[in-house]
Amino acid sequence: MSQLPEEVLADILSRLPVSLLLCLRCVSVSWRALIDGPDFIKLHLNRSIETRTNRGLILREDNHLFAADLDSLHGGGVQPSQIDHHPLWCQDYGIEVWGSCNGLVCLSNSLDTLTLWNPSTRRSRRLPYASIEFQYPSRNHEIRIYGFGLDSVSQDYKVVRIVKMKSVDDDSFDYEVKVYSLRSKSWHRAERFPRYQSLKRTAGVLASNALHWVVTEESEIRMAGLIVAFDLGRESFRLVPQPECSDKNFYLILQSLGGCLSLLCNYFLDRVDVWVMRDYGVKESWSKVFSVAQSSVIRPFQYVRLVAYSRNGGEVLMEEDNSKLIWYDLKQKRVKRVRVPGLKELTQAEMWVGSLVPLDGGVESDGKKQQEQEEKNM
Amino acid sequence: MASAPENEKNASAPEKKTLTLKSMINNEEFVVDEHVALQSVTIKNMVDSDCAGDVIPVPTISGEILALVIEYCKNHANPSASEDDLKKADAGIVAKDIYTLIDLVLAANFLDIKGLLEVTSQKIADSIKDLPHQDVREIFGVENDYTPEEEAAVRAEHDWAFEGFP
Repeated sequence: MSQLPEEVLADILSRLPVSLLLCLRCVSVSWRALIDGPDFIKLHLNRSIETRTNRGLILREDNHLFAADLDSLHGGGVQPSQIDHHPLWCQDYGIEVWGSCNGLVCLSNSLDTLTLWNPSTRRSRRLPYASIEFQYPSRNHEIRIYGFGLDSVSQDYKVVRIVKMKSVDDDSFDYEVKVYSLRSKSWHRAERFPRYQSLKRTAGVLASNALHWVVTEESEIRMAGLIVAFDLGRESFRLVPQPECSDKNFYLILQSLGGCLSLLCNYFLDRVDVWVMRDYGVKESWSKVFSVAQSSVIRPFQYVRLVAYSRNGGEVLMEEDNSKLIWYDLKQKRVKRVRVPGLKELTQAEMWVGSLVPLDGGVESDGKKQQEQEEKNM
Repeated sequence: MASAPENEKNASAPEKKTLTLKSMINNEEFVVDEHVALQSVTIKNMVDSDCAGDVIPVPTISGEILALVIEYCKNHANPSASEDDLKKADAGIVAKDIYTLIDLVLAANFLDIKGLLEVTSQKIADSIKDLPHQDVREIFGVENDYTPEEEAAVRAEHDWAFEGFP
């Protein structure tokens, strides 16, 4: 039998799930080199993103993480399996998911242990401790949030940490911003966060090479706020223009939808409008993509978050009131409940794409070497 | 790829132009309309640069495989075929055993027919999804150049992925 040219073989293998590719590394020395190579990892990842395949959900119920295949969610129900191999398994108090990018997921726990994790390859990297360096000792730290994404300029994965400190004596406050680079495997300080009174405690939303958060000038975030972006390449903050909404009486949630920055304007007990900024940074490019009327759902919801588009793009998966998942049919304008057997309460749902992306910022090393390196870095 | 329907073409052209493709493995010959054969970028380049004689020899592709390739090209040269029809026809063409599919993907690659390469590659991927790596190795005719110790070590790196496989 004739051997397949490498590009034909790579094309075939790029259509397979990660778990099978990990087995196929055993076929031969050259297959292993192909599968571990950066070109193949990119080819596989891009195909998964373009064809919306190899997608999974990480579901969190309090301190427990569950995995479910996103494509199997369409039968109406899904059987999630508990993930007993994640890196914070032994210290899973207050576990939180801070976003995912190219198959890597950022996790933290209440001890402020932060790790990057590839659930498909089960590799992870624990981030080194980063001290909080404020000048005034009389300040309590009020809020600590993270964002995670690939800086496409330097091709480096970065974790951004923002800490807000508030004085115990008066109303003064200060922010500290630190950035972890996967390539350098270290933290460094970045530009100071703009002096907004409040910062909503959410994971940074990745779109157009920047992480985004909602801030307000007032001390409490009640209604619409401003969108602040942290450019991952320049490592600096800026404001992002918002759509012109006549009625500003909504609660604002940021999302990334199909790679674009998206806004979810929740008009309580009335409707939810979803906007997408098609041309990043251009105010006029904001367009309303759909609107969910409260009357179309069985029970009115307080809070919704978009999780992902369905494979054919006809439906949107949403997380409702931090407790359940629903599919919203964009054409029929109808809601379908997703049953998640085995999970009493759903605290968080995050989509991730199965990829071979390594966690050493370069070429994947073998398990032992990686472990040794991790220990050295701690 | 879009060519005029047969009847319109006949009205002006006295004779339909055909090409003869010849499998160099078993010397089988196929006479095909030129616009059908030109879906192959390799053949198109030969015709465009006047390198094609009356008979175009096709090395390394058997008559059986060449017949499948021509069936695909005929289907996709038919302007009245709907997308659904083509999907069904494609599924019929790739409903073959894995070894035929590998020959077909090689042919699609050699003749540079993008659509055929796509459907065949996808079908091969779907067919090997549930197979252990030893079977995949045999199907692709790959020589195992690991020592048993090396292979065990590579396997141990992700031992959990082999659950359900021997």
